[in-house]
Amino acid sequence: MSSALDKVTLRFSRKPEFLPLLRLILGGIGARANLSFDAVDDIQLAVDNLIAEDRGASGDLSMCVVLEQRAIRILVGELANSDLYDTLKLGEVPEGAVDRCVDVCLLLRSLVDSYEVLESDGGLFAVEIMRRME
Amino acid sequence: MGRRLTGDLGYASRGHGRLRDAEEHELIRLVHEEGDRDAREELIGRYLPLVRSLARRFASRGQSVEDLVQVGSIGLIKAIDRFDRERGVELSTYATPTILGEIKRYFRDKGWAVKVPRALQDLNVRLNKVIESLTTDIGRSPTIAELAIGCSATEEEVLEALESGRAYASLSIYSGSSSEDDDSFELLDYLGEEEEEFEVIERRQFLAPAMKMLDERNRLILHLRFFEGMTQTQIATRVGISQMHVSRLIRKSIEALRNNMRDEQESVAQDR
Repeated sequence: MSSALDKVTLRFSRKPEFLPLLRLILGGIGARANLSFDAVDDIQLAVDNLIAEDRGASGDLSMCVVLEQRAIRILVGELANSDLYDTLKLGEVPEGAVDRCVDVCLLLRSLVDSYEVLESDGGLFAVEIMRRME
Repeated sequence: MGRRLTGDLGYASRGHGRLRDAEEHELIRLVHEEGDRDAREELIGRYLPLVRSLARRFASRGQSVEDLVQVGSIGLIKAIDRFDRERGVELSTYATPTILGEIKRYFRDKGWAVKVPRALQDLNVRLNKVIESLTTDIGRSPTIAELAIGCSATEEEVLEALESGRAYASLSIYSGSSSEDDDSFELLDYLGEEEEEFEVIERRQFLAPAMKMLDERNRLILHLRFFEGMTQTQIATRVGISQMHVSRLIRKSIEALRNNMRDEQESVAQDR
């Protein structure tokens, strides 16, 4: 994460009623980065879907948004769902999970410029997504 | 007074042509100048068939016609109260867009899944138009700051209005404006007419097995966005709906896929 300009970090409940709040924050950061309406909507949708696919997990989630000169990076942390992990690692929904998972890789490939899975302690993982600014 | 006038002017006979026009003008004068309630009721009674006829246009939208007649009657009353005889148009001509406007407003309000303040709803509607006009003017998707300037709102208000737009129920197929005189019904007009013209492409279950439960248009939108890599702006132009509506439909479609798969999983689990 070179040339970091600004960073916003927060922890939030994964309950669905807090997702609109998360989108507002993402939108506000996107607005400050002068992202287009399309781009703001895309990163919101990307984060929405990562969280939605983290089914069955409990506890808070974390999010760290970093504004670089030419990109916005969003790290969504404390994810726990193994189907989501396997899907992201494999690049597609694994054979045994096709009936219960939306192909989040396909979504991310369209919505952001890159994504990366980062493993953390206790079987949890994080996903960093990056969207270049035009 | 109204009853007496009814007798004097022969309202019960519901005359035609000039006699009827003269009666109507007298009724309107009584309403406007003397606040005559009976004359107002008489006018309402006379134009109720018009309200009923307009309400029936929306009979397939999931609301009872009687409810829509009630809603449309409010528009009729507004039209009667605001009608200016000097404008040289018939009351029926003047009342029709007002009645339709009231029915459209009802559909719009019913479409909001959660309580959203009227000011935000209105800003959301304004945004819809500003996004389209700015996209055309500048040839790209506008920034939040540009939208804020275009709507004379703050960036935070724009974001809040965009977010509140996501509370718009998927059941609602109306994405129209709040203007009473705006007769465009956008999606309501569009559905069923142009949808059939879409080429049926890509039936692959590219996002999830449940793709088949989506209608063709929503499958097409998902295909264009996630398979063809088109932006929302490009899809909006291609499909002929607003950018905001494309955004909503994408979200609702993905949510529907996820819900469908969850239901299937629960059903399988119960069978075991």
